[in-house]
Amino acid sequence: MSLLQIDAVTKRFGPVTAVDRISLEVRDGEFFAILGPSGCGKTTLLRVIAGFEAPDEGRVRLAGTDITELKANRRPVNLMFQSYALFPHMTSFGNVAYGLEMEGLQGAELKKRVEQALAMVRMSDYAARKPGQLSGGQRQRIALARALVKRPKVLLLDEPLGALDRKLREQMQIELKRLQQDTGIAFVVVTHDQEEALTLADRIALLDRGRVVQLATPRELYDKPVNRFAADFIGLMNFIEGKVERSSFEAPGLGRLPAPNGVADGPAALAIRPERVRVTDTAVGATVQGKVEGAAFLGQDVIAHVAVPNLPRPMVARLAAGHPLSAKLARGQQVWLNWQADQAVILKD
Amino acid sequence: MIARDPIKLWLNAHLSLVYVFLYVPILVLIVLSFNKSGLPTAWTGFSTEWYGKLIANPKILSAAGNSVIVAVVSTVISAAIGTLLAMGLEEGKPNPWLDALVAAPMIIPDIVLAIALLSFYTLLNMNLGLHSIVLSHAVFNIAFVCMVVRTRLKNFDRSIVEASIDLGASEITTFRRVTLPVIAPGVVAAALLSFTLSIDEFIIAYFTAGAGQGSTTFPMQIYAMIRFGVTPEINAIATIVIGFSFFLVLLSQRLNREAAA
Repeated sequence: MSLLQIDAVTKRFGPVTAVDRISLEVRDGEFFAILGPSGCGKTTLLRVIAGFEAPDEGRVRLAGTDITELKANRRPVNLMFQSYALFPHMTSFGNVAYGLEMEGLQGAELKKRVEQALAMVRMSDYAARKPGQLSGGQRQRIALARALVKRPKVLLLDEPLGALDRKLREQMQIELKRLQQDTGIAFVVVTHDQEEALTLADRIALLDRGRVVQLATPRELYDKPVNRFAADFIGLMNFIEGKVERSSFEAPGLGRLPAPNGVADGPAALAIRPERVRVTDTAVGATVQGKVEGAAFLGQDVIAHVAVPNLPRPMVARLAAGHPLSAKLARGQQVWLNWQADQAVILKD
Repeated sequence: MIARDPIKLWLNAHLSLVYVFLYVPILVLIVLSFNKSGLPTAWTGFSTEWYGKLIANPKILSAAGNSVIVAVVSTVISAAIGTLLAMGLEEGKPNPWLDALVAAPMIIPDIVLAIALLSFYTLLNMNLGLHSIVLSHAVFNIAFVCMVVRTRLKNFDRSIVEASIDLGASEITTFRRVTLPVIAPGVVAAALLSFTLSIDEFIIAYFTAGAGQGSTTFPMQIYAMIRFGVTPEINAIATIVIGFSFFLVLLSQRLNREAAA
């Protein structure tokens, strides 16, 4: 069921249109990600939902109620700030209790709710500490508890993992997912990190220059990007410029390449993920011939850069470390690349 | 013994001389305040006689009382107005003209401010007294409070204000429970500074006090007494004032350090 509806929202700052007629829906109990490069309008959109920015046009609805005019402190929506924004003069307990006190809660009930929230983020032992005495990861847990304890209809998270180091990030990703499933609250996370969005979200809205480029599941976004921006922003992608003629893709100097059918004629680009590219050292059903420029061992797999005549940039192929060729790839070696037609994508823009 | 760096040696000597220059006169004064003989020429033995005389002097007591009243009231007024002013200036767009106007009362010579305030009060046909001194002191104290509080606000994380509102608090609750407690060390340090400035301020008080013992402040009383020569009583007063000021300065520095941490 649709919980949060953004309906043709526009927000301008002077001559800059930060958010340009964005419409989207967040469903009940969903983990939703708003993804995009810096300056794409994702933070502005988040602030519009939280109530810190009033949209110039459009409406925001929550569970059927129009909340566009509602002030931030009256919205059943809470935000976890990028900087966590904990109150430095209050203990962890005081920070988490603050929002409940604003609802008029006190005494045993207040204490119980705060303790539950602290337990939920595994911070019960730190209730008496002040933010200055906590590590970055611990501060984030307190910030999460502070936002979740109010049982909001929607929890907004601004770059939740941005300030953490790699190990902690992976731990927190799992934690966030667990909290979201346990509480059943809809999470809307804003991030510029595609990996974060892919691992966390049920659905992702990819933004560019104030507009939604694609709204899809992580899998769709990865496998079926709608344009070059989406294909390039998510993961690694090989692009081959060419044209579609009589519904088959041709690249200059390379001839016909395997590609899905059903695309209208005209200039286009073929996009293929590195892990979909097969590498062979003999020309068995191969399509593109090239020379190995270099190979990098990454533990689980090997990334090979293959220079292909008539292509401005080398093609990237990702081989499993167990692949018979992976250990033998040498600079200057002749290889053949191919892929299945249905694993490539033809992009018109 | 290890040969010491000659430059370091010179610097240390220089530093010692500066301190001697600054503090020897004050030390002499403190010592003399405990001198049995009333004369600054010879030490005739330790005595607290002059402190006793001081406490028995009703004029000095009433003047000290007046000064405390002026300092407390003008500090409260300027702490409140100065803090709000600092918040407003930090919130808005940076404007060097506004900044200069706010800082001006700190730089304008006291005598000019004193004359200006007196003319202004006369123009308004205002009765002069303690209240006019309070207002006059508030004029320059607001500037000092504003300056001190602004440095505190410079590293104030504004997102905690939004966090408070996001959690359901009103603007007023947010100010009372989040903004004010966080900037409080700065406000208290500013208040201490303005109290110290007010309690020993002479020129402006002298001009805007009007006539009569009722509005004579402590520095004015000392000035009146000194016309008949530096009495040992005055040494005693000065020693008390020095001790008190030292205490306030140390307190304010400590608060500022804590605030910065």
